Amino acid sequence: MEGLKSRNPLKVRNFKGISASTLQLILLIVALAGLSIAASFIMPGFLTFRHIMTLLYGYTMLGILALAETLIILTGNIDISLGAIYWITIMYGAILMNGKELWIPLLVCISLGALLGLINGFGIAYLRIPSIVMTLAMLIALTGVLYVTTGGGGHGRAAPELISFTTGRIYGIPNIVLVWIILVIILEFMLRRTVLGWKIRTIGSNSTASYLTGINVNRIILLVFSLSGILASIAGLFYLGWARTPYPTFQAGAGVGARITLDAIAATILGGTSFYGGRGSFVRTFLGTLVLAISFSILTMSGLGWTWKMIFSGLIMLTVVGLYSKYKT
Amino acid sequence: MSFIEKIKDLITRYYIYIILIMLWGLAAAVSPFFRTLITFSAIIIAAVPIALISLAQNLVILTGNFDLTVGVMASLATAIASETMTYNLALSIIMILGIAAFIGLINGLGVARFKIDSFIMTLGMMFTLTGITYYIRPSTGGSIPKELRDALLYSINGFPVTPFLILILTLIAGEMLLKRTILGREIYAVGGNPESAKLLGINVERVLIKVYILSAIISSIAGLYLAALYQCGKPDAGSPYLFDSFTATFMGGTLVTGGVGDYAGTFAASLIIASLVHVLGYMNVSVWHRFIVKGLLLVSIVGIQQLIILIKRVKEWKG
Amino acid sequence: MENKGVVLEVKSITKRFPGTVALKKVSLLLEKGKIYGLVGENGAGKSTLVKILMGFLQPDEGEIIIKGKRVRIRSTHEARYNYKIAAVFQEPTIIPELSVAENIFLDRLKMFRKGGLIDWGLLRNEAQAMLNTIGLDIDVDMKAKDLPLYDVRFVELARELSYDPDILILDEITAVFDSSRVKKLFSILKELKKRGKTIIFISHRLSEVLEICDEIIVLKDGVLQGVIHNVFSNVLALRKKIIRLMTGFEVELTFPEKTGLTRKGKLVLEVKGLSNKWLKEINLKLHKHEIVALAGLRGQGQDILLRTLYGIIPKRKGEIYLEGRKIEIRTPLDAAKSGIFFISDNRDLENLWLSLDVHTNISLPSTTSRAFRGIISLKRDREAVSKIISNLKIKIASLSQQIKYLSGGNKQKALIGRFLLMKPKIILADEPTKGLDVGTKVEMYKILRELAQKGIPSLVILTELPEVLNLPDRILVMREGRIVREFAKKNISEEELLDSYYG
Repeated sequence: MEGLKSRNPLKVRNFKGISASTLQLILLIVALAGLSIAASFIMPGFLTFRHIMTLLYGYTMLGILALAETLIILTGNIDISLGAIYWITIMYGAILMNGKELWIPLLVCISLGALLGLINGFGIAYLRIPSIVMTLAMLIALTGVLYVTTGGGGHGRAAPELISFTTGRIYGIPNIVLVWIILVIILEFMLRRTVLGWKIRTIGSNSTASYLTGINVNRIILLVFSLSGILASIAGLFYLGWARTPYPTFQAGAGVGARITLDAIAATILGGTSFYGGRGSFVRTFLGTLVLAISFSILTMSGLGWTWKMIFSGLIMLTVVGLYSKYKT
Repeated sequence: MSFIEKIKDLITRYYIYIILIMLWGLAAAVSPFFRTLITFSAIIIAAVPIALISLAQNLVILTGNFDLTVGVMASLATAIASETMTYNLALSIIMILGIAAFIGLINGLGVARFKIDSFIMTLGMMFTLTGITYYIRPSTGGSIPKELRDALLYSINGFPVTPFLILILTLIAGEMLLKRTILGREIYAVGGNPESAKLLGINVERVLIKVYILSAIISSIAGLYLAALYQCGKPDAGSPYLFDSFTATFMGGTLVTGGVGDYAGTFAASLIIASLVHVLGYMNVSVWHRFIVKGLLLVSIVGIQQLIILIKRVKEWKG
Repeated sequence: MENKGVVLEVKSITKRFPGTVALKKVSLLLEKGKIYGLVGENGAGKSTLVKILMGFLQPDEGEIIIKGKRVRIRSTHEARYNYKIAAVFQEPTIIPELSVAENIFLDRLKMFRKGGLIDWGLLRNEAQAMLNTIGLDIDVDMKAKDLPLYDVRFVELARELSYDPDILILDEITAVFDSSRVKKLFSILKELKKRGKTIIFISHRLSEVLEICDEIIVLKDGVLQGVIHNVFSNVLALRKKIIRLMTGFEVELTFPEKTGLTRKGKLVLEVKGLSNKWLKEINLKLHKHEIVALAGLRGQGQDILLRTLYGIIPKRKGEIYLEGRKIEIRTPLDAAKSGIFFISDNRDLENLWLSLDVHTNISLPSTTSRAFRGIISLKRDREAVSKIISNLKIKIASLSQQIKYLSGGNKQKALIGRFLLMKPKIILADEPTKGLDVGTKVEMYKILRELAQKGIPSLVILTELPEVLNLPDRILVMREGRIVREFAKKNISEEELLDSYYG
């Protein structure tokens, strides 16, 4: 940009004087509102408190994984192994708990999530392996490990305390939904108001500059990936509590958990967090997850079947992202 | 350059072929079964779709983008084939390739014209196409004319003639395309420095569109092969190959950011991946262990690549 | 009435960007067989004009007239092929992984097509021929990334000449040339002039412009200030006139007073025997109230020295003492912890977070000191940043504005502001006034001098002679990785200094 003396606008004016990012947010909210209204036409009871809670309950796992993915994308990386970490937690959790023990298996699972995330982070930060390659390798390896050690599922069972927590409610709000919302709040707060959060944004914006400013980029990458590994484990534990005994679908070669990982990425991008620039927010990812949730619901309710669900979710993604791109800075 | 340095340079440039040869050598030495024609034939037959789909992905990655639709394109091809080939084989093939070109065009437009990030664009398309594929072919079924199998999997005395030829052709075509055609050089330009490419008068949009169209067509050719192999349509036929295509591309030395790499390395990596089943199988390693090995292999190879780059840089600085 | 000598006319061209006007009603007449200098400060509109002439940008108002006809140049392709305008851009435009030959003919590879494939032999020969016309002797099969920067620029020149343009634009091509290469370029340009070509030559080195250009076009803030005829004689007066037009100031630059040598204060930094691949036994001292310059020809190790002191480049030997204590600096983290801070010459890529807002850019690195157990105190941050902005007179629209929309000078000030908040002990700066307009340069000198007076010394790399002669208290001239000469007196002559550069 040449000769910019500052008679400058507040942000880039693109459309009636509103900045691009605000525009995206408005678009998101409009989409959400529109979808909700459409949904309530199809099913009159859609917008009742009860039903909303039921809806949220079903998407909590995806929602938490999306938060984990957002954390990673904020640093300018990507993680396609989160779904695999999610499933490792589920399978090993079931086996370790065996319907009885809670706390030690719980601890093991969360530590495992942290460890796997740490390994990802290590490869990316210290070995300089591009994040897509590292997490791809992790995904492939975990798929193998999972199948070899558990042979496909149907083993073990969640501890009763976990089951009751997962199915329990407080004042009508499911516990896990509460946890999800609390996580959104905590993460958003961290992003906006803590030094760590700001450092994370700078790494996504220009990690070289962060390094030269004396920020310990490597350490933060390790932290971020471990944290998202932990989040993936938490999501896994919730799934376990719901499913009690897990039966994952092993799509030969596609990698376990690939689908939910891609959904998590989709939710993040729908929410407006982009791969470039360290700009984004967890609240937006939350909204993006809701958009996905309601769209999927509408498709299910209209009895169109799974294939149409796929088709439409793809088209929705493309439309929304296409509109974002149109108003990009 | 001294002798040792020459050796080091050779290793840095050709490591993937060395690994391939070592792998085969090791397996042949360890297990008598590996040395049989049956095994060789199995590897060749298995390698065809990997090599093709990895070529498709390689082309896209060289431009600095991704294509997540390569797997589902192959699946879609088998689905359409299983429904239409019994009526007219030739027309069916033409239609499939035409549809592939169209889908490639959409991908290309989204990425090049609408500036949608390629990961997201092809992710959305992947969702959509998966739905369409399963709609056409909800479960394995349909029928593929025997002629196709006879043609594509023709073998003499156990030696898989056509698959072998397809592999050789793919290698030659891939390398020729990248190294000796205009489009190939433009691909390197766009991937290496898109801004400069634009200023130099290259129509970046058109290059990207062409690449995505090529990717889709190559993937659907792989699908036709798979249809012939399985003799029916399978809606998940192509899905294993998506991640394999990334693995092969990166193991083969192509950089994630684009602009650097070639197809020969990717081809060698495809062969490694195809062989893993058998290499490990005959060493009594179970199916899923193969996954672990694949993952470890990918990390180690790319990790070593990166370490080599790092070491080179540090050596330059330390003197 | 068509003036036969006119090869290009630009009428009232205006170009706007969000928040600014890059070119305002600029009108020019370019004649055959003349070399035009295009001068102006950063942000004056030069590169925008180049991009418009090359079809990379479209003007919002005004027209371009070639051979009497109004034209719309829609792409670089059209510019080169239809309108015979070619340009070497300010940023090197090559594809690193491709060979020199391919880089030259990248958009014309069709010419070398033989049955679907490229005829490498023919390509090579043609490329070699092109290089021969400018007397450049390099291997056309070499990958562009392996060429030194000055050869890259010549390859770009060869490429543009291969389009046989009527108008050739060179944007800061000499920035990486030493005097022998400038001479070589100028002989090529004189040859082109004889053949009736028109050349637009952009350089920030006025001496070069005054040496070769027939007419000098001056831009300031997007407005044409004048087209001055070069009489090639009274250089000094012409120079003054041009500068006045470029900057609006009467005098070129003003510098704050130097610290007397007796008041330089105690020793803050001492470096003994620092060596690595490029540095050979560097010894230097930095005192509390000093500004010390690293001078010499570009690329003699000055930037390496700063980066080694900052921990970006490893050292092999040597010791560093800060305030008397020996410190080990292996990474920028170590350096930052010790209070040493570094401003790169490539601020956008290495120092700034362009996509983030002004507030974050200024306050983040120091925010821990104002934060409460890891939680940022927005209030204290805002106060601190506001103080910086008013002290340094940084022009912004709001704190939450993305910093990439600030002008170069304001970005630089924001960067200094960031360092001020970090309470530095020493500032290492690589060409801190690079790319800044005169007004901001003067402010920058004042800031550095004030910092020195307050006890924060700086070690700066300076390349422009007036700066080297007038700003620092001491000058360390480097050549081939060594400090070859130290100047510590108040008045140094240009000759003495240049002498030491060349030895």
